[in-house]
Amino acid sequence: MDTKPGKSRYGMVIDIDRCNGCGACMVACAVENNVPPAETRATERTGITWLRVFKVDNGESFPENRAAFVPMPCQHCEHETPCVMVCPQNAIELDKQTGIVTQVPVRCLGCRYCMAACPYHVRYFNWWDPKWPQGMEKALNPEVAPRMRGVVEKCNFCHGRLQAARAKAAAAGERELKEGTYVPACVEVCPTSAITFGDLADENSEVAKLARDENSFRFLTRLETEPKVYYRSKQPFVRKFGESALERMKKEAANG
Amino acid sequence: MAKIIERRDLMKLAGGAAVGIVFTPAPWKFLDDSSIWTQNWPWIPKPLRGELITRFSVCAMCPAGCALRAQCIGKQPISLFGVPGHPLSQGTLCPLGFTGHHLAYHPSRATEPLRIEHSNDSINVIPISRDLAVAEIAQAIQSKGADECIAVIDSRPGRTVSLLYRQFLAGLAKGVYLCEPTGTCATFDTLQALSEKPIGPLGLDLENTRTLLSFGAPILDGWGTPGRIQSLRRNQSQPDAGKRLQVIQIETRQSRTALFADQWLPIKPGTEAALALGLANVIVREKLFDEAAIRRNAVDFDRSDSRSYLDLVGQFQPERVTEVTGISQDKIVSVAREAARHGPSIALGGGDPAGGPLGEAEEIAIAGLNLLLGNLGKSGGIVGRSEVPVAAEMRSAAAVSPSELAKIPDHSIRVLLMDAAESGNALPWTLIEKKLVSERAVVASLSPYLAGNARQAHFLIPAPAHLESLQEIPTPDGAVRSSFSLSAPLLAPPEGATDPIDFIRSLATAVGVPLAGGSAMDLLKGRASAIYENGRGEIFVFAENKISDIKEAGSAERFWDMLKAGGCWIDAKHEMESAPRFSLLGEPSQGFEKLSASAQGRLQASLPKEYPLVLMPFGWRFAVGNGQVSPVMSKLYQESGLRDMANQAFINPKTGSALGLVDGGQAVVATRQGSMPVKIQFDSGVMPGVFHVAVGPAPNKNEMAKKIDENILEICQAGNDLAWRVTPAQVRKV
Repeated sequence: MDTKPGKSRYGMVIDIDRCNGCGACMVACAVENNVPPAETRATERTGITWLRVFKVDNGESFPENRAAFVPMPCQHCEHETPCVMVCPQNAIELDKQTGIVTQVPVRCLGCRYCMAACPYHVRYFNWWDPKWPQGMEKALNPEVAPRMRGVVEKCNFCHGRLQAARAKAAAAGERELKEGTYVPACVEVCPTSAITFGDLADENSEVAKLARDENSFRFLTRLETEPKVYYRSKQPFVRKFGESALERMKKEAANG
Repeated sequence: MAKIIERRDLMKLAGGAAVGIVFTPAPWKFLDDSSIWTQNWPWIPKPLRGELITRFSVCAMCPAGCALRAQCIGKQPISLFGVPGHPLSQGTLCPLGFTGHHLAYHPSRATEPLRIEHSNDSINVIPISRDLAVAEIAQAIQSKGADECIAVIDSRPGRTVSLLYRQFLAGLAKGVYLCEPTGTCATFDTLQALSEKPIGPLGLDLENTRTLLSFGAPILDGWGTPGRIQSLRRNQSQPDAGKRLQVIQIETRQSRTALFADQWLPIKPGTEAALALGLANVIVREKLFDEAAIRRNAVDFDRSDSRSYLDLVGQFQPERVTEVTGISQDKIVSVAREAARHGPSIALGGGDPAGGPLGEAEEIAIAGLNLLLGNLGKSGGIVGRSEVPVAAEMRSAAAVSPSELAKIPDHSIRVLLMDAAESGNALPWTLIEKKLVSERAVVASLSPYLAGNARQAHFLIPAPAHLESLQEIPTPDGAVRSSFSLSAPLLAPPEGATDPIDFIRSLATAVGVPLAGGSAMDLLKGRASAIYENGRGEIFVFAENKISDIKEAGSAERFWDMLKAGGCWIDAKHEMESAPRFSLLGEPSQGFEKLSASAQGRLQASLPKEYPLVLMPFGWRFAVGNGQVSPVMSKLYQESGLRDMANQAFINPKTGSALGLVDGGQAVVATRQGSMPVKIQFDSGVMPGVFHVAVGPAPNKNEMAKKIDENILEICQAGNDLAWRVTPAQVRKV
């Protein structure tokens, strides 16, 4: 039963200046969503991390070199979502009620068009059967089904948690989800509270306020995909990642 | 007349079918179903189903003692989270803590006692009975020579089993109790050694500190309890400068603490002692300290024999220190002034957990800086805390004092017991090996895993894994107030697992050493009872999320039940009796000379021609010293590179290019101790001429494999004080 009458746009704001790259979000994400440990041959290219924390630096040489950590989940693009547009199997949907871009693994044929189309490289292909050491499969999350070799998967803002929060709200006779009752695992475990999650459509929510802040920016805005993951940083070299895309867009516009 | 089916009819049928099928859902349904069928193979694991319940416990993987909230299906934990409101961990867990429920299923898990046979670089394991293993170890103890000793390496001192180890060793002719070089408490240990009388356990009042000079301590990444450290980071961004914590990181490597510190001072490898004395020079010269207090309390601050602390720091003029450390004079002066004026200030040693201890001279120089800053026993400084009460029978029994591996003569240990799950990533096996009696030595490991240093043992008596047995959690390192909690078991241990308390008791019986107390449960209960009878402090109860006075428990039995349900006892604040008298130079006879010699740094003069680079190992404390990590940690180590895998070498791009190395390529590191293959990664944050090699772990590696792993620590050069942080080396492209 859908207890949510209005449209939501779930999104997050990630404060890069607070992120210390501990990786708690990545590990909690894997545990929550039954992402298996790496196969022996897996690499950074072939491994599966629904949320990956990248280390970026300012390009200076020692000792002026400085680095920061940038967590990259699926950006949940709102407009002309690239992966949705190319999927031949209708395995990816932009849920209009929540704004979440969902992946339906059982429909996926593994053609990987979506991976090629995603400008953020946040989609991962199962190159191997999911395997856990003997006995560890007992510790899997019952709310999430393990995926098979040959399908693509990605962050869905812990959709199982959304369903659980909705069920809980419905049981309490509430139609709206209160702020903070549904948060993905990465948000719950972040020790520095670097990730704020909520409904961007609710102007009074913390996440919406932070998203409007002048220090917030999004990646690759020139593509106009309207991602729902915002970043914050006061460090110029970090902000440059977002701004350089804008500069390029201006140049392209100027050059016709 | 029957119609003859012609070829044309067949063609029509085929054509009609081809056209018709497009207008039916069959092909699309088939396409869709084929996706579903191919995802329902029997080998795809199916999660357990059942009612979800919540249980509370405490993480026992490291000394931080973070509270756990476990989501379970029946008795099976399926996820672990922090407990908001917990006074120690403040709702936070580290990535290892989130995966603690996986460790019982680790591929290198041992579920029965094993005899380990060694041949060249491989091992062969044979299951044996626990009684036979105990009998053989007991026989080795009884047949030791007069000059030989029996040693225990305790991975986490302060527990009841630690007291039992010490009692056991006291009952033997030559028993030696050793602690692993954790580094976290190095500054406290040095201050205690410099004090004329015992000053008891020490902690850091970081919540009230304003300037923290960290000499390589990973203070913002793996030091202490994660929840506490994260609140420090919040203090760093305080708008009120008077309340703000300023972290100054003194470290060669651009570690995460260096990244998030307010200032990073990239120091030349192994020159921390010179910098600490240089800072002291500025403080003394500009009279930025309480001279009367120092003259009153320090025995060697100013003496007439020209070998006093004043004479020593006089040698360390900033210009000279700049040459040694590579840090500018201006910076040395400004940091010294900052530490003295923007107090309370603390100077913290310890160094990188895998890089090993800083060394004796460095720690004495850092301790001297603390004493000069006058922070001992003061708010915002290094404060005293109480001892956790111990049951009377345990307290009265004879026990040997802790010793250091460096002080044990080479080839003197006949039998060595290695407690718990030491991974071998923070204590090189080569350092242990040279202390063993060659050939006849017997080594037994009590690790739950056949991994790390346990693979070098002759016997493995596996202990229950994390969350499989009732474990006590002593006070976290650096805490201001003493605490005690219990890690309640969430899983049942395998039949072949033996609690270390039960093992040491069996061994003591076999060699005729009487031990106090009863079973593991009785001993822990006795300690809880002693805490309750003491009547001090308060207890936090998870389920109720409240802190109440210990007396409200009503009885020792009820207090025990509260602890078992995940409660946490926290002692009242403890005031240090009075400022003790102390030495600033260490040993009266050689302290001055040792510290004076440290002016040149650990590498003394220039590097030898054949080894023109400096090798510095590094690691993440949570992952290098406490046993195994969940295979899911491959997300950080193997699938993303967020943390660095074993034998990944980081080198400055200019140094690397000059040596003909390629970013991402393979190379061989060679030192006087041997050589080892590494994977090269260029990193502009690395000091030219230095390369840092990660010690691990490798979470996806099956360590049950027969071959003994290579660890970069095995080719590092250890000094007389067993510090192995800096080693002259060369790197060759392969």
